[in-house]
Amino acid sequence: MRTASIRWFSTLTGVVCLMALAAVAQTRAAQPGTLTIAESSDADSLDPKLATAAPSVLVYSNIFDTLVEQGRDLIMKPALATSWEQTDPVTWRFHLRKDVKFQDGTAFDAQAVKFTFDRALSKTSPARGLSMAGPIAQATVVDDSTIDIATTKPFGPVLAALSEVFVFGIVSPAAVEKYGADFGHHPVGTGPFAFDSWQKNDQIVLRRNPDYWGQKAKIDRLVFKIIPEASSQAIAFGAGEIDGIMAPDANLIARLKADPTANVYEVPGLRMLFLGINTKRPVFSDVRVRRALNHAIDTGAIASALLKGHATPAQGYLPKQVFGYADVGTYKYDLGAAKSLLAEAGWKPGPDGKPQKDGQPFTINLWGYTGRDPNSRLISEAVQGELQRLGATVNLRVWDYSELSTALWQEVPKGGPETAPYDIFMLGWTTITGDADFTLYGQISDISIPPKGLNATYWAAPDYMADIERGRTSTEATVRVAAYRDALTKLYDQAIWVPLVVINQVVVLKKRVTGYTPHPVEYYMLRMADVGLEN
Amino acid sequence: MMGRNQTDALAGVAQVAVSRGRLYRSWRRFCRNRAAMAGLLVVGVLVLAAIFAPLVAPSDPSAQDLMRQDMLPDWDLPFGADQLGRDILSRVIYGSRVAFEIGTASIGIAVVIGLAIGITAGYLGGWVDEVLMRTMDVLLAFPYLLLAIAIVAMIGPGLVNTIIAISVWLIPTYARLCRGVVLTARQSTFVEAARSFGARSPAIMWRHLLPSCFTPIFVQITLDFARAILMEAGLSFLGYGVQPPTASWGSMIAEGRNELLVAPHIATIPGLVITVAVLSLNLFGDGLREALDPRSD
Amino acid sequence: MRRYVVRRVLLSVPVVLGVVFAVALIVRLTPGDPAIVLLGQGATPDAVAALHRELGLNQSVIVQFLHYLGNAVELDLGRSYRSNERVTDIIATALPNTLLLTGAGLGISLTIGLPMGIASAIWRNTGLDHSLTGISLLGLSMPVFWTGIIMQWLFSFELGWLPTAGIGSWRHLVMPALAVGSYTAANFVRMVRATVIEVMREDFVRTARAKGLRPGGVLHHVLRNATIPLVTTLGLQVGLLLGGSILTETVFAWPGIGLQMIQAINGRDLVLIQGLVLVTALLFVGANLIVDISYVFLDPRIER
Repeated sequence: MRTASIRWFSTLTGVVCLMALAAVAQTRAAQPGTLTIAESSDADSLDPKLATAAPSVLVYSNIFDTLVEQGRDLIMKPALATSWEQTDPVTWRFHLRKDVKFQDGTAFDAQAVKFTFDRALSKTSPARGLSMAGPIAQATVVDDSTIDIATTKPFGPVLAALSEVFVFGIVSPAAVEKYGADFGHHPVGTGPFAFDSWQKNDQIVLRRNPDYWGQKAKIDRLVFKIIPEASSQAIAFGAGEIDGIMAPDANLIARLKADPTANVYEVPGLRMLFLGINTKRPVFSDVRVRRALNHAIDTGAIASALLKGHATPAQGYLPKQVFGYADVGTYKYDLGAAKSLLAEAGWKPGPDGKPQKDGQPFTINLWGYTGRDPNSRLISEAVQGELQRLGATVNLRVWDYSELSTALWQEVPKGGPETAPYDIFMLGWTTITGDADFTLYGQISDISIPPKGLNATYWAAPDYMADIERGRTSTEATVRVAAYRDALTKLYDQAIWVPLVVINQVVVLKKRVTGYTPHPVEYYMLRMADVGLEN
Repeated sequence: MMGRNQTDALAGVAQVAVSRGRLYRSWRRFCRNRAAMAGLLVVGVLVLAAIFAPLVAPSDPSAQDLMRQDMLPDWDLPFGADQLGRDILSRVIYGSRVAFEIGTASIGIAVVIGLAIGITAGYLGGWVDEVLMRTMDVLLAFPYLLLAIAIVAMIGPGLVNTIIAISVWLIPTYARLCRGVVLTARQSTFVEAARSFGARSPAIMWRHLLPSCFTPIFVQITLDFARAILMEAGLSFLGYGVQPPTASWGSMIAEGRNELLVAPHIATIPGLVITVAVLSLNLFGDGLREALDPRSD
Repeated sequence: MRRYVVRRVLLSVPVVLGVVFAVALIVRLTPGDPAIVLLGQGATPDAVAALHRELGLNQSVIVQFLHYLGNAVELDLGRSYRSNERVTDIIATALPNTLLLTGAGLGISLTIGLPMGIASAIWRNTGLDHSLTGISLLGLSMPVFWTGIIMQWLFSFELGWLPTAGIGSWRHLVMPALAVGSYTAANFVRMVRATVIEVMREDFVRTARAKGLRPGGVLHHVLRNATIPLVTTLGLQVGLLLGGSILTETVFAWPGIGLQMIQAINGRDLVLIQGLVLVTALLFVGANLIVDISYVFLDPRIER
């Protein structure tokens, strides 16, 4: 009996091992006409209503179209809408492209647009990115190929809002009816690529849409391969397992540039990393202290040493290409100026040489993050080091990026923002629409003060609010630009942020990949309809 | 050679004399084990480095110097520098402080609480025993890293919280251990005798059951110290352990991963140090256990 | 015998329930609102409230837990907050990958560990024994994530023999399985060696030898008696393997439940966390159950 059990036992083990070997014997054969690009994280969902973060949007921006599309020059172009006009201060009429089909064969028409907008604007279950869309109120069908979009009040950047595929990507009503809550894993849109398959944490496969209304795709399959780690990406690229890397690590770009089989595409981007200052904290409610912080960080060193030159030091609260940007001045890196500003604010060197006021040492609670952006953890640590040169005691806590979001924007601490456990937080923000309104209204306004939104500086001076309100509600470019210049001047003066760097958008592709042009907005970097493969 | 039961029965001088002799023999056995002695030596060096870190480390472990970024090891910087130009040797030395602090504290807490739980459960029996042991089972049913991550996710990262997380993970082992010892000891004639003399329960528990737990606990500790250090390294690697700029061997490996192609020393060296430390602890622990094993007599 | 089995199974149920409830509690007590994480740049109070209602987060822990249990019995473990995918679907794709990795790791440990341990025991205290024990100690001392990274550096970066990460061919399995199995293999070597030495010391072996039984026959006796401790170790190793899979899957981007777990925790995806923990606890408890039950077959001393 016992001998039998031993035999049974060893057979079982043997079988397990054989199964293991057999199961992995499946090698993936490379198919011709396939373009494979590596991404650092997997998408959450391919439903524009549910997923607004880069890994998801990078993929589904190939599957869905919007009424208007954001071009590489940041100007809005016709897409599913061929022309439009403003019929009254709060209504815009869009004329839709005819003879367009969804990837499941159903027809695209005004009803589909209304369906999409109703779904996104639903009061009970709104699109998760809705608050980035501004005051869009509703869509009304005029006829099969005409639709009216209404806003709650006059809204200048309305076209920019409608180009946001992560809210208003047009979905197939038939597919949503059919798949219901699983639409995110069976997405159907009008775009140049249709969804094929998705192995979680492994890869997402899209295939060419032969009935696309625009420039039809030149490749058969588009594969997004998930390779989280920078060195692994570089190795896979070198070995020919992948054709491209999205946002390679700054340390490896030089190496990739030297690779004779590779083309490196780099453009200044719209994503800015910055330090937000909690202006309600007693120490930091003094504007001189905030200005001192601005003088204390060497943004040039961060851009050149940590990001290896693949970023530019920020010159204000917006990236330069953004509509509404004005150069109202930046604080130069000057430790001496920083220290004298601190002294002015009452922080004199104490017996240990470190600044103190009323016997209290200068302490800073800094929240940094890891993930999401290249070298973000290192940048947090570098900032800590720089602030320490002011003589401050800096307590750094490094969060995972998504946890940081929660920590900043959850309930205001019971005792009010003055008692918050952070003084300074590091964040990244992309001005997706290329319009100042997106960032200034979205990040720095009174309607976005936690828990309502993301403005963890708790600052929104009334005169500044008047400026950005003016910028938002006017449809005239000159008025808007002037309004934003005023707003930016106030921001610079009050120094509620320390803008750090603007990251370049980088993509590396094998030379056999032709026709690619990078897009300054991270989310649209991997739209591959124009791209072909040479052999 | 006297059997264990007979030893128990002989309370008093005889017992003391025998155990003193045993201890001496164990010590001699240990000294003959060269591997164990080597392990002890290395552990000793690391502990000394940990205690005297400020004196031993050539520079401030958090001092950044972007001029020295990614420098490979040379005479100036025996272990090289990391991406922020910090001296890796100093960080490794301070890292040993973190490792041993966390190891000692978490095991200490786990022993104290585990002891309490185990003795209570073993002695009182009944539903108290059931409830306590089922709770221990639940804790043991977590895959080892998951429990610690869950706790750190709940109470936040950092040195103290990592200690708490690791001790919670270790408690069930000690609880079970003590309970086992107590269950056997309860039956022994010695305890029965003490009881019949009217000795009260707490007294019995403390004076007689407690010491019988010592040896198995001691043995378990020698196993657990290495595991605690590995656990802390794993947690820090995942980002859940100590926070910057405090250097932990595990977080140094995580930070060095990105640079593996251009500056492999940043991730390699801390890992080597962990391996050496744990190896030495294991050698030391093995030697200790072998030396104390009465069957080797 | 059947009573024994049934009893053991029934005793495991409260443990599994306890684990899931503990996690539900921990996760609920964790600061951070998953709704806000999910809404990210769009977290207005209305949106948050709406999402709370949608995800059922506005109810008490107990109510939520009971709902969860009720659904779990029908194999409905809810939908992930982040992706809205059914948790059962996520587990169904990820679990086989982890089992594959764990199985391969176990296979490697057995293949390496058994012969090494036996050899060590038979030629006890010789140079061979010392070197084998030394190697196994090394295996125990190297942190599994570091071993993984070093292997990546050596076999992928420098030598180019194997792919660095991901899944897709037998080549992708080699390094992760080695990493995960090395710790277990080391444990096996020591356990096997100790057990075999122990058994070899027993009187009956000496008697058998004295009677002139061939070494092969003695070995056979020894192995038979060593089976029980071996099986116990096997059971213990499953727990270690599952735990170690979190680290290995992170290093090698192996799409199993360990990787899902880390992502779920970082994303505060409570429902997914609960589902993954439930499955892991079931696996772990199940493995222990199998070990316990196999004793009945292996050890004739236990009542049938």
